[in-house]
Amino acid sequence: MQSRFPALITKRGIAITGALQISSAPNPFLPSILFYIDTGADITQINEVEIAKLGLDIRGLPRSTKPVISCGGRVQAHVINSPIILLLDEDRSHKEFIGLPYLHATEQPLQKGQRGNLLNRLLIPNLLSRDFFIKFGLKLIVDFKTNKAYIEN
Amino acid sequence: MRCRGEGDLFWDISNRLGHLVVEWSDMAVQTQINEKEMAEKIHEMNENRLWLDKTLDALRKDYSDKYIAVFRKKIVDADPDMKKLIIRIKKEFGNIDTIMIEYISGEDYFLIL
Repeated sequence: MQSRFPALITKRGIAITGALQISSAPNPFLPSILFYIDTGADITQINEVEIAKLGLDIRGLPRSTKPVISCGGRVQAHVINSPIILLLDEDRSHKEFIGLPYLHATEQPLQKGQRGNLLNRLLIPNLLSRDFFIKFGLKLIVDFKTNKAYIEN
Repeated sequence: MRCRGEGDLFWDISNRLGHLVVEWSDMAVQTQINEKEMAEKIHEMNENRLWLDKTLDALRKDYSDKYIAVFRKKIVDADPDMKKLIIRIKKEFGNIDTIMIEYISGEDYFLIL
């Protein structure tokens, strides 16, 4: 059955808000999480703010086995196993996307007590990336003329 | 409905069992997810995002180089230290699911990723 998930065209990119379920988190269900869609990024990731919302300490999570490189250089990344991402379709019924082996969580580059430059202080956005689209065979449809965007299966 | 990536062992097994496992899972999940509530929270989050896009330039005056916490299209707290801000809003609101946290830079910038 075909589903269409409406996305949002924002000043900083195409975004979609969904929900996230992490069975190992103290607060396992995060009902609203805004992801920017980044087909240039290899891996889906969430930032430290979302980790805090889930009731987790990012430094307590296992580190990524591969280096993670952002535009500002290498970032410290951790992994959360078996995430479930939920999106609402046009009919407002939810679909669960299960099967991503892990979700990356990146630390804010700025260390305690440091002021840092602009790049250090910007929050790395939550990204719904190529791994997600490939895994679930999804399409991204964007029309900048009408300001409408969708994810479709 | 559950959407599984191709090649998942669970998916293969459930197919062989005539989708029994998937159907059971769907029933289990339906009891947990309140779609109306989820839709409201998603709407609220999207509204916060669009409001922030519109007001960003005006916010630079008062919140330059600070992290802000946005709840129902209002700034409820701000701090140059993100972690201090999270601790404070958690204390105040308890559940911070629908609070959006964003850094307000002193000047606008182009972002290339």
